[in-house]
Amino acid sequence: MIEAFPFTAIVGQEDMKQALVLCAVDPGIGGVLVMGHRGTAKTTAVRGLSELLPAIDVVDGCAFNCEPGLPTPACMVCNGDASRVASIPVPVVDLPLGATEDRVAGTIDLEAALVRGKKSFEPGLLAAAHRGFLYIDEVNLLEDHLVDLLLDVAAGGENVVERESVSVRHPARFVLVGTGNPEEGDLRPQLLDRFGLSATIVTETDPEARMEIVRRRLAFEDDPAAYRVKVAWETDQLRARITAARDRCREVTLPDRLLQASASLSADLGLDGHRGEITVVRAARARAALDGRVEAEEADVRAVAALALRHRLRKDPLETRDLEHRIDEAVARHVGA
Amino acid sequence: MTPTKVLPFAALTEHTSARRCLLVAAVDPRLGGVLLIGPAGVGKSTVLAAFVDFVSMLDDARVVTVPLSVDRDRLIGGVDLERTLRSGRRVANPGLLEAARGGWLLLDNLHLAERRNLALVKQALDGDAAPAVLAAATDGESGAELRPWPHLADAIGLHANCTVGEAGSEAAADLIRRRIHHDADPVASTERWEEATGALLRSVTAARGRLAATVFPEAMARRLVDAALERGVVASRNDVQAWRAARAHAALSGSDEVGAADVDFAMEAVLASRTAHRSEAPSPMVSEPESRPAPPLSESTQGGESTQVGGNFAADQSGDAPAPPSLEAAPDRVVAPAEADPLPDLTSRFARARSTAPGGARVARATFDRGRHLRSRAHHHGRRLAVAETLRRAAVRQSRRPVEAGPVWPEGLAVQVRQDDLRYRELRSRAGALFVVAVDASGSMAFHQMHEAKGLVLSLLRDAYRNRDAVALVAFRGDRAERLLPPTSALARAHRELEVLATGGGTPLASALREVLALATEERRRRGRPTLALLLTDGRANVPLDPAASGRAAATAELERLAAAYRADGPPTLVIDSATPGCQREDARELAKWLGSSLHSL
Repeated sequence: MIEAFPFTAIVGQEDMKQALVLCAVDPGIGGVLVMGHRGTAKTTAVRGLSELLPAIDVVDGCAFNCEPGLPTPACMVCNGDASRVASIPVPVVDLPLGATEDRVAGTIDLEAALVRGKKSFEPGLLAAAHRGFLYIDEVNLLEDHLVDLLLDVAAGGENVVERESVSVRHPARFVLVGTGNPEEGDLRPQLLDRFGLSATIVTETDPEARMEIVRRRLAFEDDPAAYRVKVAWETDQLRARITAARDRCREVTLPDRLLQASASLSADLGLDGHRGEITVVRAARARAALDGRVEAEEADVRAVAALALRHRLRKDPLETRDLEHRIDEAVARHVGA
Repeated sequence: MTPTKVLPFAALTEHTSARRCLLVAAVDPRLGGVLLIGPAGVGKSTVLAAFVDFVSMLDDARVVTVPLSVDRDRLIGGVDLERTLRSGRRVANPGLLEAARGGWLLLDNLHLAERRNLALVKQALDGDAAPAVLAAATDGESGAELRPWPHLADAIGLHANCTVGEAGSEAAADLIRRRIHHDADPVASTERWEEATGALLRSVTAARGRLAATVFPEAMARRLVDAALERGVVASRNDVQAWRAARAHAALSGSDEVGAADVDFAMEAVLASRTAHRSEAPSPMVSEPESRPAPPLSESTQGGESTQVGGNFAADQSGDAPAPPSLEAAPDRVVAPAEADPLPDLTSRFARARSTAPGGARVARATFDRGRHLRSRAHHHGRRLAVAETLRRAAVRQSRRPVEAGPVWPEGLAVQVRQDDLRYRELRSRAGALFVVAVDASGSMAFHQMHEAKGLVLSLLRDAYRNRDAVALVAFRGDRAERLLPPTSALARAHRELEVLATGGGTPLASALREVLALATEERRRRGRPTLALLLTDGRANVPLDPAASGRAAATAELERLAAAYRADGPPTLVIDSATPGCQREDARELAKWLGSSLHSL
């Protein structure tokens, strides 16, 4: 187990942290894309996420992390059997660039085949990530055939394996978190669209902040356990806020005027489909829940609009105009400044 | 002390900075190791081999060598086929990366390694008890993008340049004497250096003990961070590496406080190679008419007549050619690069050329060594065995297999594998093509031509983006060609490079050909994408590669020779004559003829 640098000790990068926390509150937001130069705490933030999430109940003995008591026709093993319950930390699963399709989707269990001559299924990373997070570093360099696979699964919420003489399906719903360096390649538009929120890493130019980042990092690397104790209070606070917000999130209401504003905002920016405005609404609710409120307000929509919409703007790939600015203006028109 | 295979580290004389980096990396393994960069044959491997001996004496640290030929299973571990078959139980084989945990990973010839493997190595470096890396790489001809996997290079804390004769001829002579002595009598040589080796070992050990207590004064920290900011270093990881480097350097020099010399070391070994990409201001030769309104395409450009060599091109030439428009008249013909597609016909031509390129770029190909695992097949033709698939096939048929039939594998196996169980891999690759675009940026490109050229390149880039192709950009002017952009699919970066591309100076066309050829060769060696080149020039070479030669005649003669080699070995190429239609001369046509490529006009 890798000792993760505490999330709350990350200096700056508020957009990225906000986007990750919102997805932790409402996984239905659909994931986060973080773009920025390598070596800028992107991976650190994702790894730090898991300790902020409350444990989840799963059906004991089911390899697919199914929820006990929730009928799950897609699961061939347990169908949400409520009688066997185990508690596990929310999975945060790494999908490495060099992964094979077998490893990602799952494959026939070699050992069972050899020892017992039996065909049985060995679950892959998609199974492990169900109800958790699937993290892809350098997502813009992911090979096409893996992207196809991900898009397929993300669309249906289940993984269907029909190959090598095995025939298996299981639920696979996860929060997709991707990070990458925009200098090294662009994402396919279909994949881009799958991410609910996007954040861009900003270069820290304040020398004091830079020094503080290094000090914290070195203190952590020199003695991880002691450092965690030092920031335990902040971590506990944030975990408690996220846990409470997760429970409250479904009850948060969004006034009609904001629903309309989100829709006209998205139309004004020329977005196709409704995914953008739905994400704005969900993220605004999650933000309100995180704040301990039961009704979302203008400030919530303003705060999440750029996170939810920036990567969806149909832009000429050669266009260098400031997207942020376009969104800000549209927000001012429809939501008010 | 047992004699060492290679001349002891303590006896080395050259590559002072590389050796210092290695010692510093030994003091603080969390620096992630050392990357040596330098030309082939400069002695990088010798230094690394000596250091491997040295560091294994230090703390019995494990050094795991990753050979170039390593495969995925060996790197991250997999099924031990032999033992699995014998025991009928899955026996796992730990990979090299696992074995190197907490130790060192030796990667020589990093520049030749497979990207996919390097991605796996990089991932191991992110993990717990990550090994430190000892790596060497030869820089590319242009030196622009020597790192095949920038993420991995970035995770290796210290970078050292190895140059020829850096330590002087005296040091070189000493080294040769010592090596000859060592090869002749390793025992005596090892003994001779035993004391020096011992002293080095003690100083590293002492430095390790001192490390945690080494003080980092505020002023020194500030100096380091300011240097990083000034150089445009954006990653906090690099800041951390620089602090660690300065601290370990101080400890190694016996100090308990970081001083100016330690900070200087960190700047050189960590920050220098992470300095942000140059973005030169355009030279005064170009007046980028950004603020000027872009008029619509004029008649003559819209026509965009593209003609084949030997076609009606010759007829155009024989007609009354108008005088070349003066620079003052040029603004009327400026084409805004990002907004218009000046030569739609040409892009489609290029697309057609692509589809007829060797290997059929757009067509999904069934290959046997990369890409998506399409299916496993019974017939091989020297392909890779699909081990797991073979075993699975054999396994599910075991119960129906009579014992007396006998396996094809040696006796004693729990699983009978027969000939018809064997399965081979068939993979499908869907990689796009690589376009190498070489743009003449010499003084003879009047700026309106430059704008049309930029517009053309941009429309190609856009097309490449849609087709998931990669683009590399070469510009040539002054005394040599420069690789502006290594093969990439990042459009924004290509756009930026083009925007700041300055014009002026001579036309080093031969240098450009060589650069394009180098890119195509590297591509062939590395990824195997089909490559196509586009040469945008008026063809008037006047700067030869040979520094002793000069002038147009020499440049042209040299170009013709080089073009013959290019024709034999180079990628399919289009030449685009950048001269205004009607005032084109023979040069571009000659060039196209020499290269065996087709000619088009802007």
